[in-house]
Amino acid sequence: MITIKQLKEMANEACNTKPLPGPEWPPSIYYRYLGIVARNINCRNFVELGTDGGGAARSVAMMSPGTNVITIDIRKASTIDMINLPNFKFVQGDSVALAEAIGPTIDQELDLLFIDTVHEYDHAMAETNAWVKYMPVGAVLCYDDLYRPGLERLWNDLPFQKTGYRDLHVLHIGGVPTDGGFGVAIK
Amino acid sequence: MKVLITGSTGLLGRALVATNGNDDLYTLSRKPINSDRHIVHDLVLPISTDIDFDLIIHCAAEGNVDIVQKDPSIGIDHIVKATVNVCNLARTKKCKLVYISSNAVFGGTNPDYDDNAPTDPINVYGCCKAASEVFVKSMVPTYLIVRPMLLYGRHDPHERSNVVMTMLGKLLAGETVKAAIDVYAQPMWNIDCAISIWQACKKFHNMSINIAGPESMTINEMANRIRDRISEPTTVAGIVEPCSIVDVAPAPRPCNTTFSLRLASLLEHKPRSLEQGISEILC
Repeated sequence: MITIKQLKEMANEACNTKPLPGPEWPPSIYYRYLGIVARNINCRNFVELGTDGGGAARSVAMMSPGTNVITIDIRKASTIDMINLPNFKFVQGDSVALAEAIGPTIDQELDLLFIDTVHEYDHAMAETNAWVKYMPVGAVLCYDDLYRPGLERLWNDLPFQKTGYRDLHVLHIGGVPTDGGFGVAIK
Repeated sequence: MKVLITGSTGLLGRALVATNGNDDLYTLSRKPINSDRHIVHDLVLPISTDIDFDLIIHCAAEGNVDIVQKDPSIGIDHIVKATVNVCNLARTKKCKLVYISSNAVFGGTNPDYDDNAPTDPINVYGCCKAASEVFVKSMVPTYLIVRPMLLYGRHDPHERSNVVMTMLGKLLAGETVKAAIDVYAQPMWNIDCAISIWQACKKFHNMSINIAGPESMTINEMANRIRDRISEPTTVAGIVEPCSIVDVAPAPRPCNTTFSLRLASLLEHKPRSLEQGISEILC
């Protein structure tokens, strides 16, 4: 089973990994981090809540070809149609409501969940509760933008082993520390 | 395609009108103009219309950073509230909204700024623009946020001037121009900006795109380049005096919001250099 120490070490690896080619997507280090984590834990299914331009999900699909990538957003950005990878699937809809439809198809095989939607306590907690039941013990949960007021509380309330918040904030665009905050937890 | 351009008498609005020859254009501003396709309206108030627009480009805003800093309620009304009213119109018409934001949503300490970089404004104007971006993203199903930087060009004589034209006028008159050595910008000709926006409208949606001129320079360097351009061959231009931004601007300014121009590089149109832009203005 993956450990918090190993997850932190992967952040350093991500910082030293070159961005994936393609100016359509930003060179965010946490995109590469998610790909490295997926590859190292032999992730069967990765679910991302909050696709935006698709950069993170694309990185996981490219860096971990054995992972089935499902990314969900209420809106579809124009770059989504440019991602033509066999293990990449975009689903348009509500990130909480879709758990009931998608979750049972990957029950106990959802190894990596990334939450990056509206960054409010109630919504992020609802997302966590909706999806975590489909994750096996030892699966990894990642959260972006933890410095936002609601998510700081969420982070404190999560009943998991955790790292990040301050020491993983370098995972942002181009390696420049931002006020975003990035957190990783183990179920 | 029926297109509404708000703030159509401003520097960018005028350029958007001038660079579109294909669409069914409607314009909106607070000032009446001689056109049957012009809507006179103050966007502080809600707007409704029978015209079914396919696209709205929302340029209208209070653009004076120092005025908004002095009286934030002006920013709340003429940037945030006006944007919310335009969002409601776009939602009602089920049309795409292009929101013209600003490089001022960035704090200026972490260049080069990516299109997806988190916003961290340091003045009231930037806060109002960043807040408006959030409203656009959360209210309108199909949107594009465009962040231009330091636009210049010929402006309506009844409208606010722009820093390049002000410098140009002073230097041509032989006056001294104080120009900051501690603020960087990528000046962009308004016509280049308008062409880029029309192209971005077709290519991108539900994203943010930063657009600017190709060169990053200090304001002082910009003034010197303008001076160099007009000093040839016989004109005697004024003097450029270096200063700090705090000597000339009451509101805090982000020191370096240089863009990476990642998505802008995918557009067919390539903006002109400052020297080329000044030449276009002077010819």
